[in-house]
Amino acid sequence: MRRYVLRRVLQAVPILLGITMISFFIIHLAPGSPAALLVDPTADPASFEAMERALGLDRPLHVQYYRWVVRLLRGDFGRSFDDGRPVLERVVERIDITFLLMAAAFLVSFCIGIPLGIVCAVRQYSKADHVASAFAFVGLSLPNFWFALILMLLFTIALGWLPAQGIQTHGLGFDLWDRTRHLIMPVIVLGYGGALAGYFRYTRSSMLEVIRQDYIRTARSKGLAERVVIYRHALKNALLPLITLVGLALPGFFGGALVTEQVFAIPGIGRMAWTAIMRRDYPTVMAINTIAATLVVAGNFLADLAYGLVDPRIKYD
Amino acid sequence: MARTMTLAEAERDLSWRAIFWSRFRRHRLAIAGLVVLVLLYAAAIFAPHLTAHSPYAIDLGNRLEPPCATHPMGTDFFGRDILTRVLFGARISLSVGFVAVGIMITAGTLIGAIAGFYGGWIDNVLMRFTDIVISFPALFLILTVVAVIGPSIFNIIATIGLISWPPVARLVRAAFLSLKEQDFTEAARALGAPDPKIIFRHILPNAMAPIIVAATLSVAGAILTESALSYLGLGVQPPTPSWGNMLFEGRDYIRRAWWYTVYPGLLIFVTVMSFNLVGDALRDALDPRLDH
Repeated sequence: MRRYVLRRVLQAVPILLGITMISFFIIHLAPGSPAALLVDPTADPASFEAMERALGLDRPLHVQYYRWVVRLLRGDFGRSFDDGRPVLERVVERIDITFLLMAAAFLVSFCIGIPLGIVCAVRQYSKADHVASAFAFVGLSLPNFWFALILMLLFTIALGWLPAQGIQTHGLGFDLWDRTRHLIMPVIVLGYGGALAGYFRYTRSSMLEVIRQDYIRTARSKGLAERVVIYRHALKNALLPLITLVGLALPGFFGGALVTEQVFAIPGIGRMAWTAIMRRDYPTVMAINTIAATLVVAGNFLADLAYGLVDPRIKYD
Repeated sequence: MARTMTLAEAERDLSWRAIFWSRFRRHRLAIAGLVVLVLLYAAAIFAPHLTAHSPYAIDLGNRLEPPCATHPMGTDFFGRDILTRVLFGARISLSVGFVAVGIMITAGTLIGAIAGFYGGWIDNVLMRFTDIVISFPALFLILTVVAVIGPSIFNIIATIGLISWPPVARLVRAAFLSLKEQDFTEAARALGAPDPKIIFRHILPNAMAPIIVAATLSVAGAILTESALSYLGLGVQPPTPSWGNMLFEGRDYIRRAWWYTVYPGLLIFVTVMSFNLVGDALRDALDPRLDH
């Protein structure tokens, strides 16, 4: 077990290095220099060069990458080209709202997808099964930005129930009810998507498979109540592999958060990522990319590990 | 070299098709999806003949007109007919989906086939590379690359295709790992067939079913990605209409003109849904093991 953990952690190092290296080179191969965006266009070439030197952009690319990694190991993501503040500080300021959004959306997709999947498996081909399958299917196919606009048309413009922009009413400080109202639509948009459909389908097909196993027939023939058979015997076994799905859903949530935050003007890291990409704020783009990739790698690793913990058949060496 | 089929082969061929069709047909929604897709492609191809308007003709006297007889989907901020732009937008959105998936399937199949067939260090290197690409938050990377190299249609297609192949590579590799151990592969090798021939003529055709399913479902994903890019302002650039950039333009007028955003988005939704339905039915029809 300890060896397995160690090996996985060691494997993650080249993956993360590869990810950061590829993104670093792609970003810096862009024609034109971000220094050009920072100096007055009418200024003389000398001040442009001074700006390039100040940003470290005059060095060869591999040297720049090496310096970036060394600084990162000290926990320093550099300073934003946009406002000159440390990138880490900017990210930390905004990451909590993104995490809140993602966690709430995850709960929504989990708490709807799994029970629906169970019901559908238990009553396969019933009306409920068809309706729930259609519901999950629609979620899988909805373009999230369009779904967001439709919700806005309905709940903001037509009905006037929910605010469409930001996370709090202007001029009002933090207020739990106000915050909740602002987050309802973004959470629905992010939660009702690929992840929900994934959990639903997975639970349904996994339950259908487990229900046919011999030990379920045994449990039934012992005269156990159907409830006990389904929820105690079948469900436990059917849901185990779902743990790995939780880790795999992370990249989707990141992409979703980027779009959702943009549509609803939520000041999280998704919106920050978009702004940074548009303004060529390299250090910020690199930081968000690295953090997101690290979370994805860590999420997959933890999912595999948790799977091994709950399923004694799986042995790590 | 042409050769005639034996009766047995013809029978087997027929029954295979019959089985496939009878399984596919059970999914009535997938048939509907197929019909919708055929109609959409026809509409995209014949777009200039289906409408009296030009997708670029500006008519400032008729800005933001609600749907009416002359403009069934209304007009946009420049007075352009939205139905016309949706039809011409279908050309962009549908071809982006197809070409991107073509690139993605080609790359994924090549990498997966080579990794699975040769194994050893080649497999190791290719799969670690796959691990790296799959760990990127895809939309974020695609946005970054497109922002860097410029949002032309070609760049968007290439970027989507070159970033989304890893799941296909894993799928093809898994299929190759089991197929290369089978007798027919051994027989081909014993007969002295060169590696490329074994890979492409003998093993690959047997691994096609999951690839076809993945390709169909990926077209849906690619169309969604392209429209998300366009919506974020980094997709197909105006005035060329794409469903995504029409939404991007329309959101500023959402309070005044609902039709501006509702119709283009509806088209994306219906198209993606159709591809998903067809892909799902294909999975069921091509893979008898998943018989529920």
